[in-house]
Amino acid sequence: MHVRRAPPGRGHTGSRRGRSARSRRLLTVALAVTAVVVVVGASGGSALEPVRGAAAAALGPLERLLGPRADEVSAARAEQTVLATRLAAAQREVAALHGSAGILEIPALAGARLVPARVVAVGAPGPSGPERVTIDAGSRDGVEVDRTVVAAQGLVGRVVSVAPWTSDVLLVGSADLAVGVRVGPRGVLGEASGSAVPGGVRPAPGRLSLALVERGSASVGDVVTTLGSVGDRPYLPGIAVGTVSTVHTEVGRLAPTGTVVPAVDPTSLDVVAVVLTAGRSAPRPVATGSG
Amino acid sequence: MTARVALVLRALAVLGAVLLVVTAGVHHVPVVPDLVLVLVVAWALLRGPVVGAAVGLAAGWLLDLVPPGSSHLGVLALTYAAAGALAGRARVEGRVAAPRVAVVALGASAVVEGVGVLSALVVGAPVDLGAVGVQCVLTATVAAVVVPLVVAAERGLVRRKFG
Repeated sequence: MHVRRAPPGRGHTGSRRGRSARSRRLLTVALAVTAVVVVVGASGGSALEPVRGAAAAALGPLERLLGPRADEVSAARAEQTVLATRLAAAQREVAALHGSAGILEIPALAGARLVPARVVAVGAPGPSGPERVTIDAGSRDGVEVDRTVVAAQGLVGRVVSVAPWTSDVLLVGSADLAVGVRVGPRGVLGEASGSAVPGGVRPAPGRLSLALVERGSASVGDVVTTLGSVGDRPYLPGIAVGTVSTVHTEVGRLAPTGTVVPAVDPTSLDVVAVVLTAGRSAPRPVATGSG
Repeated sequence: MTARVALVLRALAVLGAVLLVVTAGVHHVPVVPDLVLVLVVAWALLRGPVVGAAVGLAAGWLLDLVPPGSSHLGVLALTYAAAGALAGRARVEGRVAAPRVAVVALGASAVVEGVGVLSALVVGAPVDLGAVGVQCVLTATVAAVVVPLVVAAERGLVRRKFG
């Protein structure tokens, strides 16, 4: 087939067509690069995190300016958040002293620093609500990646990205966040997530999916707390995650699954606190059998 | 006014829209219209699918990167590029009526929200279809009002350029 082409670069229309072809080519390259970034990101690469950090360093201060002002209410709420978190830790300590688990219990918040921060930006909401927020505390305040973020009512999420003046928090209830939990007074181990956990049900919007990972039972109204991570990162033990709202005991499964109502409503966050624990440096007391 | 200044003004408009959207949630605005998509639709309707896709790609990258950004870098960029290309296909010569703008914006919004809904369904996350619908309709309504303003501003720029 014979195709007649316009002579390139001749006259006004020719140069215009050349420019259009060039911009098309540029767009194709940009789309291809973006597609590569998506694929690399989906397969676990984090080569572009510095780009995210640079954007956060440049635009974080602007967001802090646009965010809510520090007033008496938010100052009082910051204090309430810190006090409520410390009180909950103290209550857990007292409960542990009475129980048999006390032998290994360490005061999780002894020597910890709680950095109060205000939420200054909320990410574009997913189909079931906000998934990420920006807080006005960053590496200059000592915030690090994989630190626990709490509010007065309980767990908010974990820090996923830190810039000098701001940091980004992945919220409880986002599809990417799963947290190991203890359920009920007996502390049955389980996992809670914003998306359906393996074997668990797809939760309703605003709820978490829960699956127990050991034989045990959960009943409606049971308190769900964090299990805790090695070195308290990303999660401190014993922070309230929510309460069990439904329990499903499917035939053929070892342990029941269910859904959890989160303790913290992610749509009405204002003041939160980042918990910076020092980590345990003293060895545990050795208990030896005698007699 | 040179073309470069006009380009900077457009970039600032998109950045302003992104910042407005992410900070609106802090002030407890229940449903925030997708102002970024409204701008993308405006330029796509003015200049066609190639410009629409390019503007969508750039605006999506901004949404991906401006804190708190998105969990998966580049996904919003590709989504907005697709929405911009789709909106650009609906370009007509001459004046664009507001109902047409609303329908195009509704379609573009459906593309953006649809990608979000699909990715949520894939990982087994909950989907609030009612909220998604409200968001689409609100974005289309805002687009019907804002797009003519953007078009008028663009015409003003062109008139200044050519005297």
